[in-house]
Amino acid sequence: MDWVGVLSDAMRDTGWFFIGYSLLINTSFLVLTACAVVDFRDYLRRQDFAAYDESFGEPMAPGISILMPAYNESAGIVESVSAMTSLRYPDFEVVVVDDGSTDDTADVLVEAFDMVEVPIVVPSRIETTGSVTATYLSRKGSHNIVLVKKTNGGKADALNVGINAARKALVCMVDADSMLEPDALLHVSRPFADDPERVVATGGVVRVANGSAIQGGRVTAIRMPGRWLPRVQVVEYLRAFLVGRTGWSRMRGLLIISGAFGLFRRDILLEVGGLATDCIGEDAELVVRLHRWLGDNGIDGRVVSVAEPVAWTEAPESRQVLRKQRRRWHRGLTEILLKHRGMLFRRRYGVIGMITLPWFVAFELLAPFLEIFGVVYLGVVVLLYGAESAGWSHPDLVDENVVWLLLCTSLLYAAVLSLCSLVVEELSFRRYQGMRDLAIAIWAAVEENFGYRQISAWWRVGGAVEAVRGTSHDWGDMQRRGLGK
Amino acid sequence: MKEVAQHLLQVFGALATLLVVLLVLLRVVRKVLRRRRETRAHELRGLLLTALLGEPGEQQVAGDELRGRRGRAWVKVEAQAFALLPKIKGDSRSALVELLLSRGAEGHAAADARSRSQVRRARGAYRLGSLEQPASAPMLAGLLHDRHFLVRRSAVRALGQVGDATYADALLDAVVADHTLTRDAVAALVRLGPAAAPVLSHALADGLVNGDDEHRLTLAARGLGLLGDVVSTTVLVDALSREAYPHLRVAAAEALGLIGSPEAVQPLVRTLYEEDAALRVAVADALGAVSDPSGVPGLAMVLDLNTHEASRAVASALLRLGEPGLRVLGASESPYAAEALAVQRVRQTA
Repeated sequence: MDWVGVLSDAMRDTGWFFIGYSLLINTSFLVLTACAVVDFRDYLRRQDFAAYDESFGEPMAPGISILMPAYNESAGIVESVSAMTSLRYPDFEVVVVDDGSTDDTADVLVEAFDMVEVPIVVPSRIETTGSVTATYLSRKGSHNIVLVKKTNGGKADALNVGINAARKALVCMVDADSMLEPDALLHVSRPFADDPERVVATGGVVRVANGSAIQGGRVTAIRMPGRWLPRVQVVEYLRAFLVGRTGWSRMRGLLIISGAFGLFRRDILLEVGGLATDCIGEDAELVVRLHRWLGDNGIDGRVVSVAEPVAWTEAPESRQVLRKQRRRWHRGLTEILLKHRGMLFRRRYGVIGMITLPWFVAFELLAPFLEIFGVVYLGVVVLLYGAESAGWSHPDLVDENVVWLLLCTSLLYAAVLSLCSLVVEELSFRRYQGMRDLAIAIWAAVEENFGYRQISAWWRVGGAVEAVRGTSHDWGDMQRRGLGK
Repeated sequence: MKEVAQHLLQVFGALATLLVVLLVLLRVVRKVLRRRRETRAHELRGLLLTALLGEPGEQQVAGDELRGRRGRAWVKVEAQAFALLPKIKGDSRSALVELLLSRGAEGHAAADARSRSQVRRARGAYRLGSLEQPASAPMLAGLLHDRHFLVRRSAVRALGQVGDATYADALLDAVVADHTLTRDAVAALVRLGPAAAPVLSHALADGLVNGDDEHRLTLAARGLGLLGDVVSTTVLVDALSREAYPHLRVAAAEALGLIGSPEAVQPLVRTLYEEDAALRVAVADALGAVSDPSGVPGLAMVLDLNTHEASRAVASALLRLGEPGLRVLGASESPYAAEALAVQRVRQTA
């Protein structure tokens, strides 16, 4: 066989490999979408008879400690805490952990909430690197705001101190810049009351608040953002967080709960040793470790995604910030999958070990690498095709059909999936109600596949490489623009 | 091959176009429908409120107009009325129930409850509960073991609303079969009221003798506590001592705290030394809730011998026991004593 034949075969086989991979990844997502549809249908059907309003006054509502780690957040911390204190829930406290801020975060809290120093006992049930220097209690309202000042140790360490200091049975982890809807705690805690012996953690859906109107730490009018990066991320969050995680939850294979809004049983967190401080995706790692702990101890536990409670978050609007976020996310995922690779294909971890983790390795961890190789492949194909057309190279090097098939299965199929997610959202929660919002969302579902996906893949490859090389990570500053300001 | 690629391209292109059209159609149609529904609901709500709260003459006219509706028009009235029922009380509620019953709403709900559709069965159960007619109880009890969770949950809640205490036992059985109904069953038992207490007490006493399912016993104990049934103190004290039932012991301690009978103090104090941390927390909380000073010496002995949660609970309990408890806390070097006293000072100065 001459070199032309070898090259032609190689190009065709590579093309078929990418086609097969695209088909598998997109079809698996279609299955997740179908599972999510079933879940939403059940959820919406039961709404009329589920007596959600009655939950508020019921005797079995477990107490919740909302943990808010803060580092140099004096500008927005008072508004964030105020928004938390006005949530609808019968028994909760807000525990702010000031992780050695160098600004006046603690001082503004003490002044705003009329706090006094109180010797609250913070045991060392979970080992922490930072040490507690003072604890405060608010004299305002129902005295349910606690401030714990500690020396700097990082976000995971601050959360671990918060878990130690928490006084309620459930612990809610919320990013300082997340905004919870008023009934979010009522909804996200329901699975614990419904099935108290089995449910160990629940996660709420995270949505993008960019473009929406915000007042007093609350989203008051929901709108699609007009700018490129945020609007694409809205669709991305819908597909991955709302549809994807609900689908996994339906299959009892939910691997990750977002750090932006998760609720956990405190006794279980103490049992597993809290959050890992040596891992970048500490929130996701915690949930994987929970699964591992459940499997190792033969406990029939559940991690559940609840679609209705919503935490609104600010998505990065600049490429620099988004790049940092995506590198960090993928580095975190890589570290988690490496750390817990022993769970792969192990029956004792159930759906997580047999399906979810292998899926994450094949279609999350490796996807950006294949995306980049796919782009390179297409580049080579286009060059060869151009050369063929100009008569500079041998004809038949490029199989036109394989190229078209690849474009169909990777780009068009993905765009169709994003549109399916929009249809699911339209039929279920329909948070974005204007025609303009719909037009932007449809456009974003298509444009996401041309440019954004590829850039994002490149950043994620960087994150995975960082994790494997173990290089130190530049956390940097997320430089959020500030919502509602 | 070329044909396959072209075909696939066409399929995906058509699918994408179809989805976009579907999205736009859904948005437009649902918007129009919602607006129309809201307008109708507004008009109906106004009519219903006039029938319930208007001047006597207006009430008559509005009531007649509502009763005069037939077919789908009445179905809408019924839906609106059932949506309004949980939001009103007293005479207005009775009048609305009467209006619904006068047009056969109970029969309609019962027909729904027998439907093949799980959603209709759940709706039927919900509506039967809202009407609070004791005659519906047997049908609702039959739905407690429906194959669909949604129906079971609606039936549990509805039985609580109907208020026939003889079905408390059926609620306990439903939870044994499906633990995820616990929260709803507790709410239902509380709604059944004091009349359910003898049934629960009997279920607990018999269950302890027969070695019944722990979940059933725990639910019975929890119900007795929430109903504040003083008569059940003895059987709850018995339950507190059953080492084979760890969850039941916690529920019994909580119940004894809610009931507040001084007879429970010494059995609770004796349980303070148990190994189960959750039990110790529940016992300390209960002693605080009973607020009988005879619990002070026992609590003082274990103030510093406990886990974090239990020590905190013991200190809080001492705080609630008045002067003798405060003296113990003041004299103690326990950090939990200092915490409890400091928190109390904050509450007093606020």
